Amino acid sequence: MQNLLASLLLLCSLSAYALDDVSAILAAADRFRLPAQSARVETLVELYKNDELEKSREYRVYLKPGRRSLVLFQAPQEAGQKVLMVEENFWMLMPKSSRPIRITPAQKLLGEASTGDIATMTWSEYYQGTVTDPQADYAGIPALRLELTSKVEGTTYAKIALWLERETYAPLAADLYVASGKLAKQARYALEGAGDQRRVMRMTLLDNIQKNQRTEVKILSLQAAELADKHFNPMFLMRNDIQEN
Amino acid sequence: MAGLLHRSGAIFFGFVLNTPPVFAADLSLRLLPEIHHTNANSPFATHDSASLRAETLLNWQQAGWTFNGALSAERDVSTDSAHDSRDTQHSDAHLNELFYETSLGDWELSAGQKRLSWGVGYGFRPLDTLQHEPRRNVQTPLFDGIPALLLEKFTGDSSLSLIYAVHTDWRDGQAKNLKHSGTARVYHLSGDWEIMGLGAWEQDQGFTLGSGFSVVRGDNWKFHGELAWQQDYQRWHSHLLDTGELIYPADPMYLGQQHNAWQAVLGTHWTHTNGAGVLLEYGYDGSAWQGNDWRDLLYLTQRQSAALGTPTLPPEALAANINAAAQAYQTSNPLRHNLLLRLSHDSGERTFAADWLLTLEDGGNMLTLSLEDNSLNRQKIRFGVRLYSGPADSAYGALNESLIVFATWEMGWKL
Repeated sequence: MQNLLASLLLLCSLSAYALDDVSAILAAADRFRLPAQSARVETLVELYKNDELEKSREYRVYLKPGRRSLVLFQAPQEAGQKVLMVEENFWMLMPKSSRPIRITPAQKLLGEASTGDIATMTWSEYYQGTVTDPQADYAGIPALRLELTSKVEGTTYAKIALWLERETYAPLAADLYVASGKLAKQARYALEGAGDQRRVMRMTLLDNIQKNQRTEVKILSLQAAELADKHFNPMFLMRNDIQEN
Repeated sequence: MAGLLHRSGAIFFGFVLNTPPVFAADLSLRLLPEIHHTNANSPFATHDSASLRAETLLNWQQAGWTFNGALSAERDVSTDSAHDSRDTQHSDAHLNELFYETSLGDWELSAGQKRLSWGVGYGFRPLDTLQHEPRRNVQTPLFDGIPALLLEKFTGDSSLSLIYAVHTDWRDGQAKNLKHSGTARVYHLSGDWEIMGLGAWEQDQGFTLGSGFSVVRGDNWKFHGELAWQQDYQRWHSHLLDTGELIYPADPMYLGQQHNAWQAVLGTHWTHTNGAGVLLEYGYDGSAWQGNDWRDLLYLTQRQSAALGTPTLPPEALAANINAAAQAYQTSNPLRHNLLLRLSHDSGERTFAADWLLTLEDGGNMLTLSLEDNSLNRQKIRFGVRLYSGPADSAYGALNESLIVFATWEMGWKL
């Protein structure tokens, strides 16, 4: 009887989250990662093996609504390299060639922290889903558990299990699955600041295959900044004069 | 110290930078050792050789200006069959790029020496009419840009580029063979499809028209193609093949003007999230030699080699004629029909690739195996081997080398 009652309560609470609510929840969660529609983000990616820093890479990322992002590689051995994402289309520019190369969504996944991980900072534009556990507990924090599936083509991950703080919808963690259904990575989100200024400033990616390896994606700065539409044209990648509006 | 910025009603953290840096500069060092093993069956046989090339590369971007330059030093050691070795050293300064970019209203202007590669092909790009970027080198070359003036207009999904360029051969510090060209490039992205078109005119080369496409299907497949028509082009000829003679008093090879050539490339690239990739590409180059052209040249060199022992013909002149015939390899495609297969695996830290190029008309082929390691911080290491093989009367089978072992060590610093 108690089990039946609990199941009924769970069903009632699940149905309390309609599709529109989930969209609103994701939009609220997005604001902890990207509090503006258009922004410039300076990112430091550090790869650790057995808790020792093995290598680091720096990126500048411009994000714009319409699933557009431009990644400028800053590390000296990658300087001049660029990745452009426009909806489900992706290009890479290698500096010694000066010619954009079209890449597939599968290629976007490669690397310890794929370009998809650093260039995609929202869920609401890419995913839809349901609240599967409104009474979840994540590391002792009351949480919501959502299951998200991509609603557009070309997403880095086909499916995401996402834990959000129950009260604020701040991101806590995510299990990231590729199209084959395999768990590719696990993400942990670290927030800094208080109240309205709480932001995700670090994402830890745990490799599900190489267990001794982790990647820290650190947000060094996040500024409101907008590039004109022409900067998201792959032919513009051959130019170096990136000017913010 | 963290600061809070209020802009457009939103609140942001600004930890380090409030504006992007006004300049970017980086310095890198490359060491490129190579060992070349001669093909003993080649009529053009030379000597085994080894080389070590050191390059210091500087990239500087500031206030609209971009500079890419390099200083290089190379030492070559070649050994002949009598085990006598010859040691040479030389150094160069390269100005790869120096250009200025700015906006003029809705238009974008670029002026200076700039790399102008274009096209969607992997091993062959008919639309790369300006840069002719080398695609068959074992090492990434330090190729120079083209002196050019570009006027371009971009929207989110389309672009138009109007390019005036000057092609120059630099010899002994002087510009030779100045050739002017005008090119219009158009590009449009429609859904998954990229469409490109090109119209060009070049002094002594006439008109070139072409178009290309690239499309991605699903998460794993990419298809690409290019087609171009050239009004005029240059192709190698031999005075000896023209006349049937065995010896010529000067360089018997010359570039002759030809008309109407089609070039095309069609390829597909499959990639998987585990890092595996397969690329298959067919390339047709109507400006290249055919199998019988090579057979005629190789038969001529066999007859010349046989005549080296006879007293009637001067051996030095014959040997010079034979070596000069190897200039026929100085072309982007030795033969018209080319099939390229590339198998690769990218683990994030290491990339393995096997590139196999088959010339369909004569069965000659080129296999390149390479492994690139990116696991070290600020460093890149690559090494590999290239093998040329095929029937004795095939272009690659008769090449003067059969094996190249190569490596690259690269380290970079941000300035």
